[in-house]
Amino acid sequence: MRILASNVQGVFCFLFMVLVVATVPSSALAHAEFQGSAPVANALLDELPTGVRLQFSEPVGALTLEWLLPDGTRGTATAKATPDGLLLSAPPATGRGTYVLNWRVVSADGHPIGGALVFSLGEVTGTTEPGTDAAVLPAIIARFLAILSMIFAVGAALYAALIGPLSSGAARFGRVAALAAVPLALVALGAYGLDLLGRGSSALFSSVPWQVAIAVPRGWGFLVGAAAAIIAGSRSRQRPAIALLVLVLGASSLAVSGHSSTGQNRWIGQPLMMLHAAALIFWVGGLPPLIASLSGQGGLNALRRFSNVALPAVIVLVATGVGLALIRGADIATLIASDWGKLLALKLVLVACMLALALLNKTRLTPALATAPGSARSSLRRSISAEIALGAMVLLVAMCFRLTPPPGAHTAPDPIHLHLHSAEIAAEVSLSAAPPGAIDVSVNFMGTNADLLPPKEVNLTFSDPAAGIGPISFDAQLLDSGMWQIGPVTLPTAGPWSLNIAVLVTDFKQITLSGIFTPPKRAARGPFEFIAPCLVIWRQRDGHEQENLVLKGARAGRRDAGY
Amino acid sequence: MNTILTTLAVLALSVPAAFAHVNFETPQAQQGTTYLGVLGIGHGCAGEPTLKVRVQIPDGVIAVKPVPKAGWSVEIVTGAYAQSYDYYGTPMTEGVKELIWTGELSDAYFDQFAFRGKLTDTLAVGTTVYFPVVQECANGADRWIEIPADGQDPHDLEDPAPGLKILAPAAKN
Repeated sequence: MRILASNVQGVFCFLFMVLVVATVPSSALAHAEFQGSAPVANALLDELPTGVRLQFSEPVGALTLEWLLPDGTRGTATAKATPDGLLLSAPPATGRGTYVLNWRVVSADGHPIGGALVFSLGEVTGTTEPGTDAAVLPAIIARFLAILSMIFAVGAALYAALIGPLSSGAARFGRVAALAAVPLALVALGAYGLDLLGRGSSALFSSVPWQVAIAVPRGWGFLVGAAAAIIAGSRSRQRPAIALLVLVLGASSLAVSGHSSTGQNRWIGQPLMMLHAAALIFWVGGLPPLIASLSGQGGLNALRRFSNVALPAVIVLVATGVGLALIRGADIATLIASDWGKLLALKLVLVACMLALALLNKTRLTPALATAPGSARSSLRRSISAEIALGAMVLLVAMCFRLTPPPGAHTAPDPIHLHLHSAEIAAEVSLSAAPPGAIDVSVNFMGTNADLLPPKEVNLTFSDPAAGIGPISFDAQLLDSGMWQIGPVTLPTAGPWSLNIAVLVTDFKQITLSGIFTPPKRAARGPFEFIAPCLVIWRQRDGHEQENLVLKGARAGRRDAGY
Repeated sequence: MNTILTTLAVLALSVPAAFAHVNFETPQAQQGTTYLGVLGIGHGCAGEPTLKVRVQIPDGVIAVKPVPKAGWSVEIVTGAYAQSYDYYGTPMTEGVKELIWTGELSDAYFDQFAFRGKLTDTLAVGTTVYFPVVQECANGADRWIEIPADGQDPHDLEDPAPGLKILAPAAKN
């Protein structure tokens, strides 16, 4: 009976709730629509507005109102509701540049809508992202450690093949370096992906930085380097063929990642860089086994043999270094004035110190080892240790070229081209420059089905989900040439931006093409360039959906060569 | 108490999303029956009055006739069906493909647009058949034409086309 009673109570409760909901007036349950703003989107203003108005088709409540300011900081905005939208106080004055207001509001039916209002004061800059540069230092250090361990692992194998047997300590050191090279290469790969994207370390847990990193030559250069270290660390490394193989692998892993790997001189730059890297690997990587061999019987012998090979290696190193600097083609004055030139000068000073130590070892300390072994041995040890330390510093300085574009790299922004397609229609999308900045976008449609062309309406929607910006939506205009165009639109961050193109092909049929473009972080800075990886996911909303088609967006190479 | 909570949760999750779009009053019908489709238009295009309502009739829905409407003219666009359908013994190869109502409906009002049609057995039981709707106003158009892809939640669509779920025919006694 009690069970029955409670069930009856439950049924009544349910009926009551249904009644309550059924009587909610349905006239209020329509979506609000964004109708415009003051200042208008993409406006270029002379002075900061005293207030910002967002206009909607009906009263809305604010969920999120956030400013992304030109100085990279964020701020919350306060708003007053009006019958036709929201009235916001003036944005915090943070100087000239691009202001972004991320808004998300809810209408009476509980349906949230969001978007971003982008306008600029004085000039279009794009907001700088705070923490972007935080990703640079870890990337440099991780790469430095990964390359250093590879150099020591490969250097030990080379030493064993060319100079003489490794002492047990040197062999152990080589193996440890080889084992360390793999995890370090993976860390470097992830850090490089974060650096490319300009994201914080939390993004490591998503696949995006890894995808971006592995899609570019430097990314798989890390893996080639790790492979070289592992082969070098294996037992069969005394065979010269294996030593040659790991040297080639190790040198290529460095050659694919430098500035020399692209640009119009790459067919000269890349082989030069490879020789440069090979000489460096032999020289710096051979020094630890050399120190270890000093305490053994054949110390003097090993020194002489090392010196015989090291001399040509140093000549190759210097000659290729000069060659790489020459094909850059910058004149001395601009070179000296640039940060890049200062880094190069620092590197040259360090190399000169290394050469001086090597000369000291060869002309003074090596002969002294024959006459007074005791004191000369410890001097040699100190001197070679200093040489290793200097070599590591040279490598670190070389990594720091990442921070500064080489002179002559400030060329016009490169366009980005995307190819998106569905089963029925294909779109060639051209962006006049890599974001951030004001960008013209043009879209050309092609298709096999003539009934669907030309489209009746085209709408482009951009969003940067990681920065929480967007969607920013634009209707494209049809030009006489048959091209659809929007712009200039201000995309305030470097991305990755997702782009949705809604193509109305008949009155009742819309095809949606989707893609993500991930311009490399440094495209905005200058020196790095490659085929930009574009993960393109396409989707069609007429009942079929296909995803994960990976295409490439070609980026034109910059005038840029090796350092 | 549990019942209240469950009911509240179910209602909170399911009800509000459906109201704003263009929908059928009865969003399901049995295969093989003649269906009276009543579409509700709840608002204009961003505040502007609706001047035209266009409904595309999907393949497999035949013998369509609009319900006339006071103050509105209705136009019938016919065309060839994708296949021949049997309509009570008569083969039908062409018929209504689109209905167009022309008139004026203020953004402040709600109105219904009705037609009837036979749901042939080519419409599989358990599937949803979509009737894309274009609502034209002086300032442009709202297009309720998005059809969810396989596995996609229709609630994720911005402007979903009204759908009609096909139910199993009543058992014959």
